[in-house]
Amino acid sequence: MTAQTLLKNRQKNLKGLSTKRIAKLLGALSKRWLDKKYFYREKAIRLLQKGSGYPKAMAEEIVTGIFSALSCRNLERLLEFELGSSEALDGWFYDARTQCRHRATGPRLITHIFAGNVPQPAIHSLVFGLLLKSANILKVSAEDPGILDVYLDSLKAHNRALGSVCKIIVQKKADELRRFYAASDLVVCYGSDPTIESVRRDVPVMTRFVGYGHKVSFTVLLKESLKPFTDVRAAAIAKDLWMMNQRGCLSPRTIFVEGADQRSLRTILDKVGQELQCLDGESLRSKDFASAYERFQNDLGFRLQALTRKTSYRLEVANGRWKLLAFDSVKDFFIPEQSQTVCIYPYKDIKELLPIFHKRFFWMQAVALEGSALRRQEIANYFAEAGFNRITHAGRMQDPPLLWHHDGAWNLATWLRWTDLE
Amino acid sequence: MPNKLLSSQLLSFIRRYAAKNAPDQAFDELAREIFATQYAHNAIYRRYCEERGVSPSTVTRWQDIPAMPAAAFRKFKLTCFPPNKAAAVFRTSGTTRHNERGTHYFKDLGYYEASLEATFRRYCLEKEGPFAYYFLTYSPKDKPDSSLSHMMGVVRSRVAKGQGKFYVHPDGERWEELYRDLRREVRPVFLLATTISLNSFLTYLQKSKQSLKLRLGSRIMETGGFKGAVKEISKKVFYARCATHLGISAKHCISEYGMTELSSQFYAVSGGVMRGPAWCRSIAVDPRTMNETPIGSVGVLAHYDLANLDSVMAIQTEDLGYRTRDGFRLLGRAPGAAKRGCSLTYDRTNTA
Repeated sequence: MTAQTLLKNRQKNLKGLSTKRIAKLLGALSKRWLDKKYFYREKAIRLLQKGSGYPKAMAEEIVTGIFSALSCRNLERLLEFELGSSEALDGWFYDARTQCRHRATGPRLITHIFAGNVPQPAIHSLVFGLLLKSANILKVSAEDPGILDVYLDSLKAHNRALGSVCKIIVQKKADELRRFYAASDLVVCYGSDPTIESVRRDVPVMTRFVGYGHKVSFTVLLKESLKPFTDVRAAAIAKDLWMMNQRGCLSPRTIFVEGADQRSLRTILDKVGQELQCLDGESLRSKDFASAYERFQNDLGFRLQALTRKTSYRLEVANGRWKLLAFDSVKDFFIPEQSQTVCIYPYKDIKELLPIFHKRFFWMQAVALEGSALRRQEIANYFAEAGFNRITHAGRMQDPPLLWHHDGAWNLATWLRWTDLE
Repeated sequence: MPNKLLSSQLLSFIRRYAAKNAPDQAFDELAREIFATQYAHNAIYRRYCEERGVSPSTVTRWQDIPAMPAAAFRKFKLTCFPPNKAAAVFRTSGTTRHNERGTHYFKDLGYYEASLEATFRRYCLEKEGPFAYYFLTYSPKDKPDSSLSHMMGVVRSRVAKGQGKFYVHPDGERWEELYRDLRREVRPVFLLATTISLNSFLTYLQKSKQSLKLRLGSRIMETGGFKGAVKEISKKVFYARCATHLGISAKHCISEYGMTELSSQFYAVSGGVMRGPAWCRSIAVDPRTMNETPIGSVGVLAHYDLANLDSVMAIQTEDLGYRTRDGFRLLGRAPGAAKRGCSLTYDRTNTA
């Protein structure tokens, strides 16, 4: 299927549909995906386990998380929040503030470039594209476990019109991809900085380009959250770490603890380690070869990384796949290269952390901030200035609301074009 | 830096066991001696061993020598001599991790070339010959930092006696020229290629509706796998394509397994057991127990290559496989392991 065919299908099948109708169709499909017996969901769960190495319980949570967010109501709220009206893509609407009428037009064709094996961005990106009434070329990486294929199959079975404007491509030569870019009004690229840089170079200057880069997130525990450091809090922190095997941009890689002494660090290490082990379940603790292989690789990687610096950690807990390390101070700060490795740093004053964040300003994503409401508000200002775009509670890191400003920007609003009628 | 005595010991080991297996004791003695030297002269490796609590005095058999992860070649200059004194530097292609290329420094290419020539002769030139050689790779001149191109250059100069052309150039592949040359060839041919370049040539033949019936006894040596550059097909299907388009049957298709981090290579005929030279042994480590697996049990492969005299002899790969009586079988990477997501590549932030 060429770009021309997709555009023809868009003209024929999509332009006549109202945005509300599309949101309703997509929301209904999401509802089916929430049914644990749904054929496509079961298939996706299997692929996530086999292709991405996620444990079954995690795969179930990932799929549930994705499709809970993509409900009809949430999609309508997103349209209203970002466009001012859920009908902005269907016709003119009057805005009293500007005293003129506006209408939004989605890109005719979007080329999406997906990287890595985190399924959420790919499905969200496709749903956003459909919501904007665009035809979609979806370039997946060679490592992709095939979740997007399953979603697209389910979409075709659910509504042929929506399915007819989407095409997945896997391996393409640079020339072929450039032809797709040239035919598109928008290129959306997810990946590492070098990937984004190389795709951006190939996109024609008049084609809009949006890049979503790799990011880093943290957990910060203010001192009042340690008194006492409850099991519930440990479970919430562990869930953020566990979900996505610490591979997501919303996965905290480091925990900063205000005013922690050796004893409280030991408590955090033990409790969070235990919760991680519980989440992994019995099967992963000793038997599963793939997870043992992953732990083996991570351990080698950590040993190598440790050779490059003189830092030493005081406390270590190895629970199943997970390695947790507590350091003396943030002077030793580094982020482990491998997953399932959590570094915990005590600090005295938030100002000690600011150089760490400012140095990495463009890579900051989210922070799970635990503490009293008053102090959270106060500390949040520092995080906003340090480049973070989401501050939430522990346990909620991996369930961002659909309205969240992903990478600090609008989700739909940066993808479309406006026309004003004065 | 390894002394001359050890260098000459290694060279005589290579000469002595070029075409046969070495006794366990001979391998073990030399391996432990090389380990002691590398421990003394390679600072990074020594720190790695210290961190694992291993030193020459605690090692009682070669299998106990700590294997350095191959990834270390991307991060460190792993040498037993000042890197600026290197006679050659080979770099990995960077296909496993973008923008991160492993570097292997060689003080002397003597062992490297002696090793590769002896192994190539042992496993690739057992019976038929002489061959007309065709290289579907870059020449060493075009890719001076590629160990594969260097190897092809050595095969061309030492085995092919300076005969044979390279058909992959920086400006593109010359498949039409190769097709013409092969059609004219009257001798059995030896095609040496990367899996990707050979696949590309087969596709060229298929698209142009051409095929060749190369002389009986002709053979193929392919290496590197598809590396995600094109749609992967199984070895069986790939060799069937070779039979269809070139007239070379699977039993004459040799698969080479090499790593820039190693000085020796392994060969498997028609997708069978990988066999290497007497100075390179392999083990598989069970990631669950961290112990060496018995023959036939799957583990993560580690190679002990004595020809890596000036860097690190013991290399821990990321490949799964299992040991057989005379080699190993390669199974590739574990599904889903060591995958990356949209969490940042941390090397970048740590050096920011």
